[in-house]
Amino acid sequence: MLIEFKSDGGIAYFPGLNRSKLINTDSLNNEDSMKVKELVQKCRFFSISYNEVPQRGADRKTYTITITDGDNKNTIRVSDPVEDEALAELIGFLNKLSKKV
Amino acid sequence: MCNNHDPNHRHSIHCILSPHILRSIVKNGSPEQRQKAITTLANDSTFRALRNFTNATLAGTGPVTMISPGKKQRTIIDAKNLQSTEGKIVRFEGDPATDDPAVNEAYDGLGVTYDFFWNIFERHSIDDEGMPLQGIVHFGKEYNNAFWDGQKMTFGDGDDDLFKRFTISLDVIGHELAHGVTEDEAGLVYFNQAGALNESMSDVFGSMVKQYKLNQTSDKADWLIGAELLSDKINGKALRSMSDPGSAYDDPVLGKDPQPKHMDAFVNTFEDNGGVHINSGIPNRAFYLAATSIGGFSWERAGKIWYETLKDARLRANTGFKRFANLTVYNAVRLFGQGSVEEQAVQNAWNEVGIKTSVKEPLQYAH
Ligand SMILES: [Zn+2]
Ligand SMILES: [Zn+2]
Repeated sequence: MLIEFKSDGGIAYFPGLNRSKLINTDSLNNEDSMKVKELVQKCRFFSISYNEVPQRGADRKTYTITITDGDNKNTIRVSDPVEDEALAELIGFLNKLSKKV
Repeated sequence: MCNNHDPNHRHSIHCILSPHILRSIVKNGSPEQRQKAITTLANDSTFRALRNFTNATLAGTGPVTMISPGKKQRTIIDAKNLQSTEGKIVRFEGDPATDDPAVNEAYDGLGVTYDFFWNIFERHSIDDEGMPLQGIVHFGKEYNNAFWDGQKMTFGDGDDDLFKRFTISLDVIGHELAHGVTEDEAGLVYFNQAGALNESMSDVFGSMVKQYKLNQTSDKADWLIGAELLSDKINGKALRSMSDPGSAYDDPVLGKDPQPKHMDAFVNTFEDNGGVHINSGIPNRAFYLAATSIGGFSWERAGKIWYETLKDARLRANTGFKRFANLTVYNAVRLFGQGSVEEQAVQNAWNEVGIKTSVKEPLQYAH
């Protein structure tokens, strides 16, 4: 499973954190790999569709995620607050993983 | 929300609800009433909505007490590490401190920010019409951010690895509340130069709130945004520096602070809504230069000029740096006179960041 994760915006722009990160589950340790696959499944990533630009507010983060897994591929874009808790959980974990990538 | 952008407009005194009534709904209302109160707050937090809601809910329970402007109305909600906007009200206006530092910092920080706007500019909350202040704490899991969603100020706990909790810096709380003020007065589009001005306004007011709390003159202030926020692992001192943009951090994980301090280094980018948190360094530094050159407390003169500019009808939603700079000069002249120390300081400040101003130009703008 190949995950492209980009977090943009927030109260400050950090060049190091806003880079697009490529996560290949094959190169993760077993625990992280299992966890991320579980979260992708839990939020039904390949059947959700988000492409939202909030009309009001400031300092929100926007997340762009593309996941490819065999024949399955989907891209979503979503901004804070991510009210879909299963998706929020995936984003939280990708945030964590992307610090290591 | 206020749509009257006449610079001389003052809001009429609205009768607003007593905090006692709201508190009694939250504390003693039925679960349905309580939920409805929270939903009402979440969807339309103006007192108009609250009044309608309360009159409907409490019909026949006696007269509604009125209070006057100058009174703040804070509600702190614990999101319990979810991203949902519903949550538990953990501290209401007048309630004693809790044992949760994030709750107390949000409550106190919103309070100081309200007091700053009221005592210095006679502004009655975000919309100058007494809008209740809602702070959400413990938003998300290890969430490294704070934001304004158009109605509420939301703060994450930080991951404790790169960042501490986002309520820890008073100027960050002031920054978020000020986004509401800017949205109400000018509606500066959150993109490119107008967006960078929107960001800069929040840093300017956020920093002044901190200076106000510390009773600091502009020469004593650190002019940093979020100085308390970075963990010890980060090589840096803050999110941004208004006095020396680009110097706040240089770290293997965060990267290097990308803020320019002069138009020569203006960053053209599609990232970050067109660099709103990047190019804000330029107007931030202009404010710092104006305030320190004038001297004294930043809010007395430079802050007054910036605030009056924010309320100026000619500050359009898509205003760029040059037009904004001209309007600050115009307002410096209007408030302190042609050729005044203040006008000179403001002109010089913009000059130093690479923006040539003209006092004649804004006078020709259509009102
Ligand atoms: Zn901001
Ligand atoms: Zn008004």
